[in-house]
Amino acid sequence: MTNPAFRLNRRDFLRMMALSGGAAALASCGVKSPTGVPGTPNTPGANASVNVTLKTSGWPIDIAFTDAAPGTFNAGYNKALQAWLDLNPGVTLERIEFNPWDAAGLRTAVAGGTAPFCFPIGVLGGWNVPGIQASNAEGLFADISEAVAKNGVLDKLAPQVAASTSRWKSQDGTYFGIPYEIVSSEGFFYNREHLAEIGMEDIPLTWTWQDMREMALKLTKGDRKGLAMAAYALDWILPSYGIDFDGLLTRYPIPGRSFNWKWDFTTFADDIVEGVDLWRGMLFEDQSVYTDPNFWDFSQNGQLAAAFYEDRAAMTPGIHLFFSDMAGKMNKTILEADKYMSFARQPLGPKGYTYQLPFAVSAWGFNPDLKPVELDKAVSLFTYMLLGDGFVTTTNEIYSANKDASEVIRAIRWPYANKFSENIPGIEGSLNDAAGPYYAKRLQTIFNQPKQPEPGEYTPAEVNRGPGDTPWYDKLTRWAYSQDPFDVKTDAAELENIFNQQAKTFPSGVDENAFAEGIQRYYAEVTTYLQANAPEFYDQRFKPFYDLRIKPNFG
Amino acid sequence: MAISSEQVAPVETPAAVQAVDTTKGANRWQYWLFAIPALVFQFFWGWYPMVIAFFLSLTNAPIRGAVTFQGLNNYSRLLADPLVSMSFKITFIYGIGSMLLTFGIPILIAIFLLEIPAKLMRVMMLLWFVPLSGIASTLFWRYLYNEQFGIFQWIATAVLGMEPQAFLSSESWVIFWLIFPGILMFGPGLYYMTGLQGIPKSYYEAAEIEGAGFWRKIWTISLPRLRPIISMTLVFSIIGSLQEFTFPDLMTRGGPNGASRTVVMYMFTLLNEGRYGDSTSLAVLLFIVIMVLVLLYRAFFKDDPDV
Repeated sequence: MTNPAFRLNRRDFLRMMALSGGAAALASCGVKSPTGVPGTPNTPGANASVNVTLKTSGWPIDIAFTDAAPGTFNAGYNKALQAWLDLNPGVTLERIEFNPWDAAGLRTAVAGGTAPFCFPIGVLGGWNVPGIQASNAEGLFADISEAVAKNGVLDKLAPQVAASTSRWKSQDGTYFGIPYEIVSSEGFFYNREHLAEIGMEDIPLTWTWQDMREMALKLTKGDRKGLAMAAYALDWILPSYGIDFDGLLTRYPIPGRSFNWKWDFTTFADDIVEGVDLWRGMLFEDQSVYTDPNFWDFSQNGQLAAAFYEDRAAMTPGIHLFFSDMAGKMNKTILEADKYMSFARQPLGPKGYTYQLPFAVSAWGFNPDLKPVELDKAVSLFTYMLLGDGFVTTTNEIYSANKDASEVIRAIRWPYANKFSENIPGIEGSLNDAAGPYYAKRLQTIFNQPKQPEPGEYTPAEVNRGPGDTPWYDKLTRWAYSQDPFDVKTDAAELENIFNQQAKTFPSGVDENAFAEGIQRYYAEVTTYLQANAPEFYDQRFKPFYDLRIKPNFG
Repeated sequence: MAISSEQVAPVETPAAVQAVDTTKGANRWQYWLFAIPALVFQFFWGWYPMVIAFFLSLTNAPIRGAVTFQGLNNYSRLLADPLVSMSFKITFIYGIGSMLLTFGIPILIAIFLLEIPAKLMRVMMLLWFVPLSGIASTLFWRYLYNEQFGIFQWIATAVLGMEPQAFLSSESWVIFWLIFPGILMFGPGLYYMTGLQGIPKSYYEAAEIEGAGFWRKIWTISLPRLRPIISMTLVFSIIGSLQEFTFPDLMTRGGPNGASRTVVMYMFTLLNEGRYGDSTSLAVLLFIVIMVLVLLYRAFFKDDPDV
């Protein structure tokens, strides 16, 4: 199951694209009926007093498909949905025309009480923990704690998903979302045959951006470029130096100010210069990159992926969710695709640091205007269809067509947030094998990497979110592509001034002591993480930064 | 001989003229009947949002929850934001450049078109004024400007033997390249054509008898007669160019380095960041700026062709 696309011009856009990519494909599976699908009021055990209408905008909880040939996803979905409706008489699903991936539209709908019963949390929260927690604090998601407990949601989740709660549970312990998908860190799909041509069997987890540059150059041959890359290349490279709009080394907390954060892009400006030089070296000297300032879409449907399909690029950016879609685009079976290509997480910075999480959980929130009885049914339906018996019913129907588990992988992106990523009752064999043994192994290795702490997990939700990242992206576009003369260090100083000037005008809505306590815990965890996983970065970058910026105020 | 008022026979007002006198008696309800749809539309889509925007710009404008009065905090935050002044500067440059390149040239082209043989003129009009999809045209232009495989780059390097050009990646030139397509895509040329065709030929014939040349006729007949149309399109042009959003957003997303980010684009950015109060305040600021410019224009530009 895949979801509809939407435009965003930030790094988070990619995650959105990833999540959204296939709704079009799914929609093409069948035409939906124009009217609602009521439950069967006379089913034994029915609660006749319930009269609930849930408005849905489509995927992942849609009304029944009118086009549902046996053995397809649509048929499985219909069967599962009808089973739930039979158990919940009086509930009606109504389809509304609405795009939940449009942030402005969704905010308006939530404000005006016209939102569908569930919608992707990340759209309102900017796909990052502080934004999601802030959106929850603003009351944009319903508190579903009771329904989560009643429906046993936590027991239905994969253990690592259940443990990764920062995007669907508040710090006070209330639940405001239900995980649906695991989203890998951003990385690169690469052509295994081309890799073999340059004498490499695999891309190691420890590869660096310098390694990437050398590989891309070797892989450039004739009309083929070594790498296809989106316009925000530097937004991938510089954060691995700890430099970002919210980078580990470029944003620091301060007490006693109206706003709690301040920016410093000058202390490690040499690293910015190094990262910019690396990218521009690839682009202008090596000419090993297929890119353009207007290439923002790195989804499986974009120009970059097309260059990969057509062998005009040996590597292309993406996230793991694209794999099965990409296989389909190349007219390959999952297993054929496994032999043809694989996936590597982003390279490390020169000091061994990566800002990337091994995976993130994509969760869905619920309309805060739903009444308790509606909320109960909404959570029940969502859980049943995506985490529970409905999921099993759907996948079994797909499997029944030709007893091939890889058809399930093709229809529903793998792995899953529920407990069925390895085995599904009624389906023979391991899904790891069906997903492509090589790819599955690499993915599991990535997912099992240690997760670094995120500040939003420790500090209170800040409704006044402060300066946006626009100035950062302004500089990135200049540094990445501009052919006008510029000085990176001057730009870095200017960037710092803009952010700090903007920050001065923002108030803070969080308790100062709670913020300080959270910050202390956060940096303690970061210290532990870096000492264990990126010791060189810790010694040469983080510790000096900590001593300069954190210790005096929060040490 | 002087004619007194008594000597002038009273003129009967025709019944048809009396019927449209909507300011009296029973006819008044008809006046309101026709006016109400426009008033209702204008109220809900014009005045009400405007008043609400002014109100919201003084609040925290939350998505949900209590609205709290913030005074002028939103405005002071915007005035301290370097990106706001930058976007206004870019918008003005864009607006002035846009008007210079896309406002004056169509007038000249319209005049020249009327000078060529009628058949050829019709073909030229078809080519020039053929209705194109704005989005499709934009995507097409994006392709033309592509630095790696665009046609303009090919012309610059392969045909003209120049160094590869930056086009939209050049901070210095990006505004020009954004305005440039407007020369070909700008619509008011059609208004000018219509206006020119409405000028009686006798004016030109009389001028020719008096010995007026081509440019003299343009200066003394065509341009003055076009003044009402020029005035109207100029106002639209001022408003439109200061509210520019779609084209630069699709072409550059404001880059590089924010060099093509207009006020409305920044407004949209703030909106996407959930800063509704700030975004609304910026909208109000832009409204005030445009209103002042239009009022100044109306004060100094007379659109009566006989003035």
